[in-house]
Amino acid sequence: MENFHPDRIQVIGRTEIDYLFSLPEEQQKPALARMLSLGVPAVMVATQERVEFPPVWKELFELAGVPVFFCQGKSREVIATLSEFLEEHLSEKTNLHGVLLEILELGVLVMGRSGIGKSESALDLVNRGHRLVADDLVEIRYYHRGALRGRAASPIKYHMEIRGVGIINIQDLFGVSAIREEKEIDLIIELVDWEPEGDYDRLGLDDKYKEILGAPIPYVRIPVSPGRNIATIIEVAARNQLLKNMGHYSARRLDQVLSRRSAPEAVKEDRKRDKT
Amino acid sequence: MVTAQYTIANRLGLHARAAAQMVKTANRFTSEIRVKSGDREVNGKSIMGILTLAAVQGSLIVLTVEGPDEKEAMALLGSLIMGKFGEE
Repeated sequence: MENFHPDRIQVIGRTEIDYLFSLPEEQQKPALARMLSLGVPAVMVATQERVEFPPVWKELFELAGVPVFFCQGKSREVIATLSEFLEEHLSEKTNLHGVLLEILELGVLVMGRSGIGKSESALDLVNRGHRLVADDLVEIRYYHRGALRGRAASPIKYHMEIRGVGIINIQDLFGVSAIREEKEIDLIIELVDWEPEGDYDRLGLDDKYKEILGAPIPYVRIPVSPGRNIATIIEVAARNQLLKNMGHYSARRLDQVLSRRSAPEAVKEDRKRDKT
Repeated sequence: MVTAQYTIANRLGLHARAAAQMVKTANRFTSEIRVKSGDREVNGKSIMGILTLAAVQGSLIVLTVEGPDEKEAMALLGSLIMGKFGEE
């Protein structure tokens, strides 16, 4: 009983039911009463065949004010389906202004002020074979272990607004392989206006993160200016993130190579110090 | 920051043409403009955002405008909504 969680809905399967029925009748009631006395919110009976509760049991549940649900199916499957459903509907969510794309299996959320060219870059990327998840308004849900999943709001799903052309349907124009219903967010790219004095990352030695619903997501800021092909830069940033996910940091490797050349003694000293 | 509540009065609600007018008007200002209907809040400068609200005739929307030209923006957007987006 010490592993019993009285604050949770109790799912009872075939094994538990068979056990209860196998008890002598005078022991069944106390066994149930003990479970109910702990303040269980509800009980769900999940069995493949219909189970009928004896009148004594029903009375017990009524007296304790604990509802009983009967569900046809294996308890294992019912628990899995329920947890998935509850997680989806009870998880924290938020709406963000941006475009969500799948680039080389990576979920990339492109953000930035209106009119900076998010949709135009996204269209360029779709044209190159990447997939659109949501344009403009991304609905984001928090899943367990810090995973964030984004999707489009239903009425505008797979549509985009391109200034000068109007509203277009990506699925009709590019086919099913150009869209995706939902995608986990692996990288955030923020497009910002180019400022000559702006502080942009020139090396990429350090990882930066941006938090959404408390989950840190790798984050890159890209300045936009005439002559910069934003779609290509977004795609390269996604490729670079894929490399990093595999533990390969190009900037750090180059830095190591250069340090070995320019300051071999310092590198040796650092290594010695790291070892001790 | 200024906030005001309006009722969508035109027969077709915030349909595509009305949404486009609203977004065009909103984009003439530098202030940040947010539009809320029910529990959903969207960017007032984005046509796709406004369309997801699917606000029908009679629904309440809340405008929040923040920035240097917030008063002018609110006045113009308010008269646009109350003027049924020039529709009959």
